[in-house]
Amino acid sequence: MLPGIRRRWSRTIFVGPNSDFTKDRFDIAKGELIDVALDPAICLKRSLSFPKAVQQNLAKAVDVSVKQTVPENGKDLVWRWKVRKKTKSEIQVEVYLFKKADLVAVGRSISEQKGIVRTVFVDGLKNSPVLIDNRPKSDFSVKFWGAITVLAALSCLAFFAISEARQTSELKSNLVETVSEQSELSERAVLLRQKLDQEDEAFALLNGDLSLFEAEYQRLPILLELTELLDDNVWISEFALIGANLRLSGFSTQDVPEIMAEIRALSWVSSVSLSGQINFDAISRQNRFDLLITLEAINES
Amino acid sequence: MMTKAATALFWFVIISLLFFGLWMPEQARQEAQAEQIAELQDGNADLRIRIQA
Repeated sequence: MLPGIRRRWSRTIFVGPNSDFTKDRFDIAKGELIDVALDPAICLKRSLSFPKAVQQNLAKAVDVSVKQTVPENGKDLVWRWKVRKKTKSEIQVEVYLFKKADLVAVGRSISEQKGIVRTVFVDGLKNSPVLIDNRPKSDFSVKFWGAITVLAALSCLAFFAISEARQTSELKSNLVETVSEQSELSERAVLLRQKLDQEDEAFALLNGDLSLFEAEYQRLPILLELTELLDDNVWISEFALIGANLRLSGFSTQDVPEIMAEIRALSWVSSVSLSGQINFDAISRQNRFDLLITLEAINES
Repeated sequence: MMTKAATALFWFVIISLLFFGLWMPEQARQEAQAEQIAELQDGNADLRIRIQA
C-alpha cells in the first residue's frame, strides 16, 4: 500500500430511527474515516407536486417551493429530494429535510469518538449531493498518491521512449556514417580501377610500340648486328630506318667500299648503295658517306 | 463508473497497444538497422583490404 492509503478507505455507519447519534458509540478507530448514511425515516418528509412544464428547472422549483413552506426560508435546514412519480401532467417529488444543527451534532459525535467525518448522506438518494462533504480534505492523500503513481508511470514510459528514440537515432547516424564510408571507399575503388585501366592501356600502347618495333624487320637485331659489325673507325651520325629502307650516314677512316661489303654480307641486307658522294675531310682525315641499305624481309618463323 | 473488469481490460488494451504497436516494431527496426550496419561494415572492411592490396 502507498503511504496515506488504507486497505479499507472509509467505513459507513447507518443512522436509523432507533439510533441516537449524539449518544451511540460506534467503535471507531482513531482517525478512521466515516461515511454517515442517514435513514430517510429519521428526517422530516414532504411531498410536493409540480406541473410537467417545470421539468427543466425542477431543482430550482423544489428549492423555491421548500423555502416558501418552511420557517425562515429554511435558513436552519438542509434538504435533499428525489422524484417519486412522474405522470403525464405532473411530477411528484419527495423532499427530505434535516436540521443543520443535527448534522453538526453528527460530526461532533464522530469527532468525539476520534473519527473523521468523510461524508454525510441520505441513504437511498444516490443521485443527489451529499449533505456534508469533507472528501477534498479526507481523500487528498488518495488523489496525491494517485497523481504521483500516474506521474511515475508516465516518467518511466517517457524514459523508455526517450532511451529507445536515442538508440534509434544513434543507429541511424551510425548507418548514415557507414553508408558514406562505403560510398567513399567505392569512389576510391573506382579511381584505383581507372588508374589500373590507364596503366593497362599505357602498357598496351608500349607493348604495341614494341611489337611495331619488332615487326617486319626486327629492328633490335639490326641495331645489335650493326653495332658489332662497325668498329671504332666508323662513327654513325644518322640512322633512319623507314620501312624496308635504312639510311645510314657517318664518318670513317676505313674505306667506304669495305664497309659496304661488310654490310652487304649481313643476312638481312638485300642491297647497299651510296646515296651521294664520298667526301674526304682533310682536317679529320675521315671519309663522309651516305648509304642506302635495302632490307630483306625477315620471316617471323 | 468503470467496473474492475472494464478497468483491467482498458489497461490490458493500452499496454498491449504500447507493447505490440510501438515497442516491438521499434525493436525490430533497431535490429534491422544494426544488421544492416554490420553488413555494411563487413563490406567496407573487405573493400578497404582490397584497396590496400
